[in-house]
Amino acid sequence: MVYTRKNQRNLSSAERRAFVSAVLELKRTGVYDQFVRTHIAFYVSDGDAGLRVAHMAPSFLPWHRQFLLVFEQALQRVNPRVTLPYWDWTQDNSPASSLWAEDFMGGNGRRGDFQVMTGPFAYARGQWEISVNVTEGRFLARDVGRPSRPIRLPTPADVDRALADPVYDVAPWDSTSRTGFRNKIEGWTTASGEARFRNHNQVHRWVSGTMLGAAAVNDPLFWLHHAYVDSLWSRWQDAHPGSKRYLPEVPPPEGDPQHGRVASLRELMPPFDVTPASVLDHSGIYRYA
Amino acid sequence: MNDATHFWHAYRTGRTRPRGRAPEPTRPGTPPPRTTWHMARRSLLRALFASATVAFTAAALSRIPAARAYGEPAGAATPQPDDGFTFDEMYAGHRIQGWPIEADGASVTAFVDGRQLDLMRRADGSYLSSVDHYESYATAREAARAAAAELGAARLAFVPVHGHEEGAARGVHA
Repeated sequence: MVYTRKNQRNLSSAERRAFVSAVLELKRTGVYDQFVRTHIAFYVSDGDAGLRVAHMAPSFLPWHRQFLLVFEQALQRVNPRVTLPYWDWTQDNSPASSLWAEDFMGGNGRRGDFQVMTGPFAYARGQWEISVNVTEGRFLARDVGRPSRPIRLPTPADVDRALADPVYDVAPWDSTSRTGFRNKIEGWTTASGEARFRNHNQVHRWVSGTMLGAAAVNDPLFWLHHAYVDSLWSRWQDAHPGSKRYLPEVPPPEGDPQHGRVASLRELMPPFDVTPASVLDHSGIYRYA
Repeated sequence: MNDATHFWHAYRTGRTRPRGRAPEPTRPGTPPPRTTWHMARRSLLRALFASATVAFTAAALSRIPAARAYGEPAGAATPQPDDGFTFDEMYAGHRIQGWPIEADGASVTAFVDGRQLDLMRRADGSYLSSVDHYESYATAREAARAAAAELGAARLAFVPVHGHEEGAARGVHA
């Protein structure tokens, strides 16, 4: 049965409650923290040695697709009706959005230590103590929009520029790939100033606090952000039916600096036993509405 | 200036606010207002006092790098050109330190307030830290400064999040 991932702004209050309750239940049982740890452990940078599958690599999109799917399945073991909502940050880009409501993601962090004080994930509620963190902080932190050094969210035009690229990814298949849909969405640049933040990276920075660090998964907003990024990959596929849906198709040959360091189309993406090829088409599992 | 840096500035400004009571307003029958000379002399005395304070503070601060824990490398006696990865300074309210753990600087390590800051290297040679995972900086020092500013009043965890991979000796390679 194909299920639907909805825009968070279209969720009913019952759907919002069901999602939040399932997330809190995973937290209570310790399952949630395993997702935090997994994301930390597989964040390998392209200047360091070894295979990198989650970031700065062609498999950024399929790896996170699988990461989300496994999380969604965990949620569905709590409540079979729950699906991941997505946050279209090109539209819901203000603090007035229902995204930040008391019954959903909660609001911005307070001044000083950026501790989130409202909503189900506020530390004081007693259900969201962060145990795997970069800092000693046990609370969720946000500094939305970084008012002291403002940064804006990506616009529809920013997303369109990425979607317009007909090539999925290009050599050297890392954070220095100048073109290709993957890095235009992931958002690594060598630019300076405001231009150095793009799309996926820019949203992490816009939310800031916990979302900026290695333990970003501690903010449940992570899933809504990445669900939208995942939907953009689907939109890109629809927009370019003649393009290769994933590159590289074969492993970079011996002697290539990327040999053994990226997952090609039919290579596994640890820790998952799936390949990019096996998650290219999600239409048999879920769809976006 | 980000919020953390702003916070730190406000904190310091608050501490250096002049102490004591505000001057009484002048009323009939009270001594005349102070002359220009009085004002100038007071300004001069204040300036002298301020520069003495600055000098004292500077002297005190300059001693900080000398106060190293046992086992940390001693600073060079003469200032070295900034290589971007050998540093020991106060930034945004935090002490940040970094040094090469291979002689040629091919691998470096960094600390904030004595706790290890995970650094990673991008293919273009820039650095990113565990505090700020979605932007990179030209040098390890800049990455550590950005991390310190981002931390604000927070403190790094005792065990680095990436520490399980290679233990506390984990450095990044050029």
